[in-house]
Amino acid sequence: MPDTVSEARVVFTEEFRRTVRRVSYVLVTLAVPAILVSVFVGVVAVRAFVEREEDDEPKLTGVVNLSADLRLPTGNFSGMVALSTREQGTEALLDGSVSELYVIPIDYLRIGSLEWLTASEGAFAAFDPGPGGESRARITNLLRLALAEQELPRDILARAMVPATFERTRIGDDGQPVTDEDDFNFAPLLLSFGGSFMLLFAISMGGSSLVQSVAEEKETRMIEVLLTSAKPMSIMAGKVLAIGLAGLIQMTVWLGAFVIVVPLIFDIFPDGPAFDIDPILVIWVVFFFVGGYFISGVLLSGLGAISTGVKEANQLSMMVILPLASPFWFVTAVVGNPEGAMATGLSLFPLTAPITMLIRIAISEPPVVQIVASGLILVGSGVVLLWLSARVFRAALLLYGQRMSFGQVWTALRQSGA
Amino acid sequence: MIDALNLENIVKTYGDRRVVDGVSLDVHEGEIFGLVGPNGSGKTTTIRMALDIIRPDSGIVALFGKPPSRDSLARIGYLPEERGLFQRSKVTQILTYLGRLKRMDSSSALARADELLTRVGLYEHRDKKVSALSRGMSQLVQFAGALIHKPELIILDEPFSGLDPLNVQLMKEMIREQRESGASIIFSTHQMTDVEELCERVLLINDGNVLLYGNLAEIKHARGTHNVRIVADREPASVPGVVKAESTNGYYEYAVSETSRPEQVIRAFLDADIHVERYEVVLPTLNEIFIDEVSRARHSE
Repeated sequence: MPDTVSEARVVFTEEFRRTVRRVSYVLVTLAVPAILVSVFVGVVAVRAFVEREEDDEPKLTGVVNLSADLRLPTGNFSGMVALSTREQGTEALLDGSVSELYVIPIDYLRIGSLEWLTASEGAFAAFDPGPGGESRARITNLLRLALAEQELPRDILARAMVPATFERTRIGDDGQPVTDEDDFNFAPLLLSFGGSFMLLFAISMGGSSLVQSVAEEKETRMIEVLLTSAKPMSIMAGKVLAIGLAGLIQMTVWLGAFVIVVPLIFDIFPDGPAFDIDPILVIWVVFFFVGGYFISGVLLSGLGAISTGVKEANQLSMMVILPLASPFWFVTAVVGNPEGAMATGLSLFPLTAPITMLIRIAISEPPVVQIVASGLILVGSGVVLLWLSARVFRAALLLYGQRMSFGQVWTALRQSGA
Repeated sequence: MIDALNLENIVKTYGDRRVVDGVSLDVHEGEIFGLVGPNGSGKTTTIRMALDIIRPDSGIVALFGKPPSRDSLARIGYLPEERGLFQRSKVTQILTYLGRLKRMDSSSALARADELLTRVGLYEHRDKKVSALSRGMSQLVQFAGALIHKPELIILDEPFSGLDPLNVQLMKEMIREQRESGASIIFSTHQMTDVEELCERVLLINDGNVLLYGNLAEIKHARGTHNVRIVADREPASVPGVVKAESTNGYYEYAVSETSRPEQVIRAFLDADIHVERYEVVLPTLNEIFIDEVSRARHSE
């Protein structure tokens, strides 16, 4: 056993070194943070653009005065229209006759705050951080004029210099304010689906390099030299762990970028969707990512060994990637009934477990016992497959230019010496 | 003295075909042993069983007097027949990796890699990727990889194939150096001239069966005192006991029958009063023995 560990460590070190020094690995690892930062920069740019548009475009502003103590001056005020009730105002907002609405509350002279209402529809609705410069100037001038015309105490008049603060309210289709409770928390969904796609992406990249590595060693006969120096189990374990660690580092970089940058993006939306990251969810995402990577890596190593060459190995790798991605084919059934037989069954089958469980955790609260069972099946079957693959590995690698028959696989499994 | 390798009646069957059929051999400490046979004769399978890469169906394999183990395998250097290296890795990295797999620490492996690369004339290529090397250079790197851990038993499967004469000469020198430093070397090939030049003992294998095994000189003497070469002005009208005669520019070669003696040939020249410049009993080349034995085996099937 110490020999096996020592040999696996040497193989692991070499495979890890070769993997992380590949240009493709570095580029792919940095791609996700780069994309997220680009999205962040893009969102900031769009927000700046929307603010400028608001300032540039003349639009009609509705004003509802509910304060009995404040009389708005009569006469025409450019771009503003007086509406008598809040309901009338929200109707005007919804039918588009006004683009924004100020409601002067009944106790305005006491609190000094206005309500600023916008419709929640529109591609950039959530980017509206507050009244635009021109709109703000118009309502400010109107209030200053109204305050100046009335005989008011000195302290209230002082407010004329800064006549109001704004409470923003978005109006939904039903004319009712959209509250925080109505907002969907995107974090679990983004994290789980993001984790699933990352797993597929990482396996497609890292897994293909693993299968190619094994197939190349077989094709070049380098494996014969390795087999005189290390047990097949050590070679396989070293390879799988190295590619796994490279994947984990990739995942950490991606997840780190996600956790740092995505909340910043959501912060730009003043009343945008909630984005609260649950640390437990992060742990599950990492666990199922690593588990999925491990079992896929073991199977891909085995396929690399039984293939006739690098080209065929790449084709055979689809035998792992397709089942791994298959939960996406059944996503409607899984999302529609996350506790149903289909979702539960896919959660307990090793290759489909990682992505199915991540989807279920995102949209519902599966029983902890099922999550744990799914994880145990995933890791347990990975270990068993590693042991079985190591037995086939030696025999398969020596069949140059040939694929193993079932009989040969059976013979290899019965022989000792993995 | 413990032999580096003992094979006792090993058998390996693939499907219906017995690839190795009862091969036995001993490789002594400090000798260069030739494993000779045509393509597909079972040489590589025999080597793989010796290296514990595959297990024999029956028979016994002993490395340094014991069944193969991780410890004994760590004392072996192996150059497989068809060679390849990680194309995207640097020369030094590969050699260091191979050394570490053979239980060397990184710094020792690196120092030994530099030493071997200097010996094979590739030191200035140490930081190049394998893909940037020629095929011959790549083979030398792999040969260095087989020697990186100063093995006590070196197994070379067709080591000279694809190499230019200068590199073949270099590799032969290094093989002799290894023997002088006490290593045992198994040299598998179908190039008979190389075996004659390097090996003291040989095993000739065909279709998995041993045809000849033993000391090369003894094998030649045992079956080789029936060829006579004479340099003379002319040849006599008849030479008794000769079964085959060839002549070229004053060189006369005769194969005498097994019941005759070579001296009868020179006597025929002298009796005919012909001046003889040179007379020698020629031992058969290994190539001749090889062709003879393999042909005989194939005809007997």
